[in-house]
Amino acid sequence: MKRILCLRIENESSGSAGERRAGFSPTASDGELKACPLQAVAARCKQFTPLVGLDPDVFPESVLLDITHVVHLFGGETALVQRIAAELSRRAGSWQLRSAVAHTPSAAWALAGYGGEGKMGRWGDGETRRHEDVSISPSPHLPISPSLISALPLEALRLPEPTVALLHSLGVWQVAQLQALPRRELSSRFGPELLDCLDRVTGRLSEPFPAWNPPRQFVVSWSAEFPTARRETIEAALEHLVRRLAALLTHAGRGAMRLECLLKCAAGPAPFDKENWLQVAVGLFRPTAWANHLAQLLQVRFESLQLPGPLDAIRLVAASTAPLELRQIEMFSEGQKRVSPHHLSGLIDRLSNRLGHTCVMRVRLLPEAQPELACHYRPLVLSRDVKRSDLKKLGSPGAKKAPQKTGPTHLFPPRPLRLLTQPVRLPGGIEGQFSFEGRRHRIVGRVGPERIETGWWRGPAVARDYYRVETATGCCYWIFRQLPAGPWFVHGMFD
Amino acid sequence: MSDVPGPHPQACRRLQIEALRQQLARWEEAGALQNLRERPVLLERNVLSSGCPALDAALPEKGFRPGTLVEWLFSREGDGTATLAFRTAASIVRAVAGASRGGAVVVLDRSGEFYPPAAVAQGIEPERLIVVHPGNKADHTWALDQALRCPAVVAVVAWPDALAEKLDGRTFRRLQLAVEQGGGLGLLIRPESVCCLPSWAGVRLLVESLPSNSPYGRPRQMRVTLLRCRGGRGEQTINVEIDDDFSPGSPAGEVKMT
Repeated sequence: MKRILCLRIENESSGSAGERRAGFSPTASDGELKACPLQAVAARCKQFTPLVGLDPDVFPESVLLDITHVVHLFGGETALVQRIAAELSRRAGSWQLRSAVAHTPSAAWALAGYGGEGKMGRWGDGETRRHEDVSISPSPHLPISPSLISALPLEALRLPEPTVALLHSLGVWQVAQLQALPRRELSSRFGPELLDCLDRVTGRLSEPFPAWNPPRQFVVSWSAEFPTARRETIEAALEHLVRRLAALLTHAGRGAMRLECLLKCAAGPAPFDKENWLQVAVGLFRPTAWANHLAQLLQVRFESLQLPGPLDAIRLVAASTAPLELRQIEMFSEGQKRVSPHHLSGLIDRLSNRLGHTCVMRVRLLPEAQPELACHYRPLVLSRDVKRSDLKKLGSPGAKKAPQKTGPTHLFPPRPLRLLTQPVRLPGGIEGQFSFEGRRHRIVGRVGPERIETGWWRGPAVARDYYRVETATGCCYWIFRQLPAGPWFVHGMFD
Repeated sequence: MSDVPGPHPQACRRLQIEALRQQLARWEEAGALQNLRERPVLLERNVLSSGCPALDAALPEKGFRPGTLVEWLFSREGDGTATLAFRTAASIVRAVAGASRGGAVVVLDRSGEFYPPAAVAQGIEPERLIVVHPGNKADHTWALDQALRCPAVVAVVAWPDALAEKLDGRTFRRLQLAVEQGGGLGLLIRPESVCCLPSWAGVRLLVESLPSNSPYGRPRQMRVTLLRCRGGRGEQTINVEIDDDFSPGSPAGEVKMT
C-alpha cells in the first residue's frame, strides 16, 4: 500500500519582499529557487524521501512525497510530518501548510486541501510553530477511511469547472452524494472524466506519481587567495573555470545557451550590483559545451571590460542550457570536410557578443507597401531564448521558400539597394534637374510614378509618388513627391 | 637588378617588369593552390560566375576563383556598382543551392542604409542574409575578417562606408588570408578614390555608369574596367548592360553583352 504525503502550501506573500527577507541566503542556487517557492519546498523535501512530486498544473500549490518505505526512519507518519514542518519553518517565510497522508496522490491532495476545517498549521514570522493540526488518515496500515473521502466537497475531485457547476445546480455538493448516484449513468451524463476523478481519489483507479527532480545547476566558482588585478591570472582562472563548466555540461549532455560570469571585485563601486558582483553575460546562438568556443566568447567580452578593482572571486553559471546536438563523426571525411552548422553558429556567437546582439540581424520581409516598413530586422541571438526552428532555417538551402514572404516584393517595381534612413528633401524641387548633396543632376529618363498611399491606421497617412530617375551620368535615384503636390524627396539610390 | 643587359633603358625596364610579374603570378598560383588543398571544400566548382556573362568572359578564369577578395570601385552614387556585387553574391547562392549545407551571405553595413528587399529581388533568399551593423571601423574590420574566415559564408558584401579610407597593408593581407581560409568571396565596395592605393585583392574592378539613352532609364549601361586581376592583363574595359525590370517570378533580369 502506497503512502503519499501531500503538503499544500498557501503562500501568503508569494514573491513579496517579506518572503525574500525571511531567510533565503543570497546564493545563486537559492536565488533561482526564490522565484518559485514550490520548487524550493520540493528541493528541501528531497532530504526526507527520494521521490518528491511536483506538478503545478495537476496539483496546484502542492508538493507530494512518496513516503511509503521511509516512515519507519522517522518514527511514524506524524513524526515525519513534524520534521518536515520544522524544516520548512526554519528556512522559509510565513506559509500556511496543510498536509495529509493517503494512498494516492489525488486523495492526499484532496484531503490536504479540503479535509475538514481547523486542521491547519501556520508557520513563519511571529506565528505559532506548532503543527499538531495535521490531518492524517486514520491508520498507516489501512486504506483511507471512506468516511473522510465522502465528506469532501466536489471541488476536491479536480473536476472541470462546468461539471462542478452543473452538479451544484443539481444539488450535488459532496462526494457522498455523488457516490450515491448510479455509476453507469454518471458516466453517460457527465462524461468519463467524472468517474476517473472520483476513482482516483477513492483508489479504484491507479495514478502515476508526478516525480520531480531539481533542475541541474551548472555553476563553477573560483576565489583568489588575495585580490588580484593581473590579467594573466584572471584569464588562466577563467579558462580553468570554463573547462570545468564544459566538463559538467558535457557530462549532463547539455550545452550552454547563456553564460553568466559574475566577478566579485574587492573595491568595486556600487552601481553595478549591490553586492559588487559585476556581471558579464554571453548569449549563444546554438547550445554548446565546447570549452574553446566558450572561452573565446568570454575572452572577447573581457577584452573590452574595465575591472573596477582587484578581483576577488569568479563565478561562472550556465544560466540557460539546452540539450546538446550530437553528431556522428564521419569516418571517411578526411579529404573533404563538410561545412558543419557549428561554423555558422560560431561566427554568429562571436559577432553578437563583440558587437552586441542588436548589431547582428536576420531579415524578414513584410508585405508592406511603405518601403521603410517592408523590411524587419531581428537579432539572431536573442538575449533569453532562441527558437530552435529558426535556427535550422538559417544558412540552409532555401528549398522551402515561402511564397508569401518574397511574393509581395516581386510584385513591386524594383527597389533601390540603398535606402536613406530619412528621406532627404530636395530644396529646389524638380525641373528637369535636381540638386542633391551639393551636386546638380540633370534628369534624362524616368520611370513612374508608383503611387504609394497607405498607413492611415498608423497615424499620418503616407501618400507618395515614387519615380526612378536617371541622371545624365547614368546614375539612378529613387525620388518621391509628397502628395498632393508637396515637396520632393530623395529616398534611395540604385547603387 | 640594373645590370640586366639591354639596348634601351625603357625596354630594359619593361622586360624586368614582365619577368617580375610572371614570377609574382607563379607565387600567387602556388599559394592559392596550397590554400585550396588545406581549406574545407565548400564549393565544388573551381570558378564562381559573377552572374554577368560579359564580365565572366573578360575574367581570365571566366569567373572568380573561390577565396578571392573582389574590390568593386564605384565612381558615383547610384551608378549600380552594388547591384553588380549583389548579382555576383546571388549567382554564388544559386550555385551552392542544394549542393551543400551552409551558404549564408553576410552584409556589413555601418550606415544602416542597405535595403534588403532589393537584394532579395536579386535572388538571395532572406533566410540566407545576415546583416551586421558594426559600430566603428575597428569592429567593421574585425567582423569582416571573421565573416570571411567562416566556411559557411559564401559571400561577404562590405558596404562602402567603412572602406572609403585606406586599408593598411597588414589588415588587407589578413583579409586576403581570411577569405582564402574561408573559401567564399569577399565583395568589397569601395569608392574610386582608393584606386591609387595598393591592394591585396585578387580582382579590382572599376564601375562607371553610362547614360542608357532610353527615356525609361533602362536597360542600365555600365562600363567595367578590370584594373587588376590575378593572371590577367590589366586595364581591360567592357560594357555591361543590365535590365533589372524583371517580370514577377523570374530570378533576375536579362544580362546582355554588347
